[in-house]
Amino acid sequence: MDELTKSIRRVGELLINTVGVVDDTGLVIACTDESRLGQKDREAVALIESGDTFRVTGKNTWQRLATRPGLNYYCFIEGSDPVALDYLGLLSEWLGLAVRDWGNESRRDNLLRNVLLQNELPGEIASKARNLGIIYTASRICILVRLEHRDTGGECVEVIGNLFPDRETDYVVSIDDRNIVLIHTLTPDDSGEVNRIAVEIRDNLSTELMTKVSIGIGMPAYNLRDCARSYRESALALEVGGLFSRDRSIVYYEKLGLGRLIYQMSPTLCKIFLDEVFPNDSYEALDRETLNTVEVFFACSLNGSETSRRLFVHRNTLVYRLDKVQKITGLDLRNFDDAVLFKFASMVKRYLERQGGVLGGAPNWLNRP
Amino acid sequence: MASVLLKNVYKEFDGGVIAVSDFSLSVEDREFIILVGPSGCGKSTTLRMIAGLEEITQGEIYIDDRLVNDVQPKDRDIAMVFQNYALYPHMTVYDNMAFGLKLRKIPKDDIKRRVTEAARILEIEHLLDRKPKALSGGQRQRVALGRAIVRDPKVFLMDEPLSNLDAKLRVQMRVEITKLHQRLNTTIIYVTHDQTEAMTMGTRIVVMKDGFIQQVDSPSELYLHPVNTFVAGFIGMPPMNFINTTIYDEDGELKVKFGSNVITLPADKYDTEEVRNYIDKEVIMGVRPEAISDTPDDVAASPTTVFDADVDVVEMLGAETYVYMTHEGYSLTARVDPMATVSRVGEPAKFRIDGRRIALFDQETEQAIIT
Ligand SMILES: Nc1ncnc2c1ncn2[C@@H]1O[C@H](COP(=O)(O)OP(=O)(O)OP(=O)(O)O)[C@@H](O)[C@H]1O
Ligand SMILES: [Mg+2]
Repeated sequence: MDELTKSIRRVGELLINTVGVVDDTGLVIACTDESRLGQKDREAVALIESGDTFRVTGKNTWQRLATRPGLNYYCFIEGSDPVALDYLGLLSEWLGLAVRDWGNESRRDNLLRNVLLQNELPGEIASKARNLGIIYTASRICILVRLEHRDTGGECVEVIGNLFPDRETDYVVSIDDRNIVLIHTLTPDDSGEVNRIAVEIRDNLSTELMTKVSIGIGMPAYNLRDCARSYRESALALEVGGLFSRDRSIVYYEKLGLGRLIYQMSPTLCKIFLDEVFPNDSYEALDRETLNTVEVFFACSLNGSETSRRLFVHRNTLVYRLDKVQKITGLDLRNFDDAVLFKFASMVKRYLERQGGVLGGAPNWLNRP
Repeated sequence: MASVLLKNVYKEFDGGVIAVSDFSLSVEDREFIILVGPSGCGKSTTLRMIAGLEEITQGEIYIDDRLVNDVQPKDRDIAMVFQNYALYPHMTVYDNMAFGLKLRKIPKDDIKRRVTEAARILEIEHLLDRKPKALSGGQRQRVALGRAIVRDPKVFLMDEPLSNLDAKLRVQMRVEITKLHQRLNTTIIYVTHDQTEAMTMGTRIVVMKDGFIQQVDSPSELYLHPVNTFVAGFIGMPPMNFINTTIYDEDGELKVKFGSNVITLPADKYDTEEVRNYIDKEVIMGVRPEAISDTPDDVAASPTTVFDADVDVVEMLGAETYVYMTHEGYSLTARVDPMATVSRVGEPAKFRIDGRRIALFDQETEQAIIT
């Protein structure tokens, strides 16, 4: 959460009067009454046009914030009695500091977003970072959080920001309304750290907001510019993991397995391969029950008794189903080579089938290599 | 407060993994029910489907008689508690509990009332101004629970909330959560893979395996009358002894044999039509470790259920002693009274099975014949 919002929340806990801040266009950017956020205040617009530094309007008293010169932000308090005025004096100092910081924060956000999306000139990143107090050379990792529903984006950013509030080590950057990146500085010698963070984020968002997310994790980056790569990897992990991995809620770029290979195959190559393994679309002739049996058979490392136990079927039933697969596809899954071929081909098939749908969910700059 | 009803619910993940199969369960209003089973059996998936975090492939879920299949998670009036709770490190306990409500734009007075009330219920009122760093593990866990309580949901879903705690604290928190249930007077569905936790906390337990419900019963029913070998082996520590054997009739008496040992099944309990159907068929005999005794008095008292074995290990655990023994390739464990046991490591000994406590299972289907 930014400094200004934090300060205003604190004010809200201390005072009963409504207090708020408007920017130089009269837009309410912080207010103890959060329903007024984002609204244009007509009194404010008039005040800003007049250039006055202080004014009492119908219900409120206004004062220009003590910030940088040229930044015409105002703060208001409900009431015009002496006590309210005293408060207003204090508030304009305090909130003025927060606004100055707020400006910095949003500039920092912009820089980081541009770095991740590679919209920043590489040569300028280091100096810009320095100006904003970001250390350039540090071991960091990008953790990409993708929301299932876009309507909770803002709240998710707040939750993540508060879980990792240290602005020296953690930056939360929202890419768009479904994608949030946590750039986390790695602690040396803590191998479980990243997984712990990912699980914490996932479970906290479920707890606080009942929101489902999937999380992609890139490889470590050693300077700020390199974070763009870590971010691309995290996005790719989500994309490929979404197609192939078992538990899709947390996917590591470094653990994509066969998916990584298949993902590089062109659709034409995929089709040729499938025609070879499953001539005449024989895969389509397999029913759901049989496919599930195969899946479990693979999960049990081709162990028949384990598979029949897991499926609650008699051994002979399993044999019958495997025979059926062999009759239809020509592959005997009890044979290792055939099993490998089947496994790989079924992944390729899934990839081809779902390519359209899932890839559409990724940011559009993320084109295939 | 609400009832939860699942009707023939299935979950199939993309790629064909069927995590939950034909799951039907009716959870009463204000009930504390536990889902237990080994890792990967579908407990979390079931919970997440109730929460709406996972879509269901087939079936229906009702909360308070309302079909919620298409209701958004946040509109189901449910709160979840996970094992990986993380508190906001820079916020006080009060703010940690209030934060979710602030996000929901709940009025300030209302937040205050709810947080104070939750703190009272959890007995952490004196900690409200502290930061998480200054809390013990148990206190942090309570704050995590508090974040769910302030939401005042109809149903609490808890997914292994205690598994990150050390053993001692876990035992303590079990009691706390049971008490909490009484104080909140609300419906709780609680998931654990730890059968001890399930047995000590639950009034009704759902045992799952490979996505299927195996048995829904009270702890004592599960223990005394498991429906199959899976439940029999999963519930109870040390686990039930299983012996592959065949029932035969000798002069009208039903007997089972393992190695050179012959056990006579007491006629009053076991001479039934169901058991007689299994004559000369392969069955599994199940015996709880505490149904085996080695004291001379017990052995002398029931000569028809005595067997011989060699004692391999005697493990003193304070209040009880485990005796691990073998007989011609069969391994058994007995739980005996440390004051009365006469077993010595490396020596042969006689043991007696409590004749009333032999369970028999079909070897093919693994279903109970008699328990
Ligand atoms: N998103 C997913 N995609 C595919 N398969 C999944 C997904 N999530 C879970 N599974 C699979 O579904 C099955 C049930 O998983 P679930 O997490 O419900 O088990 P669990 O009983 O909670 O286990 P644990 O005690 O380990 O938490 C497992 O085989 C798991 O691999
Ligand atoms: Mg689980």
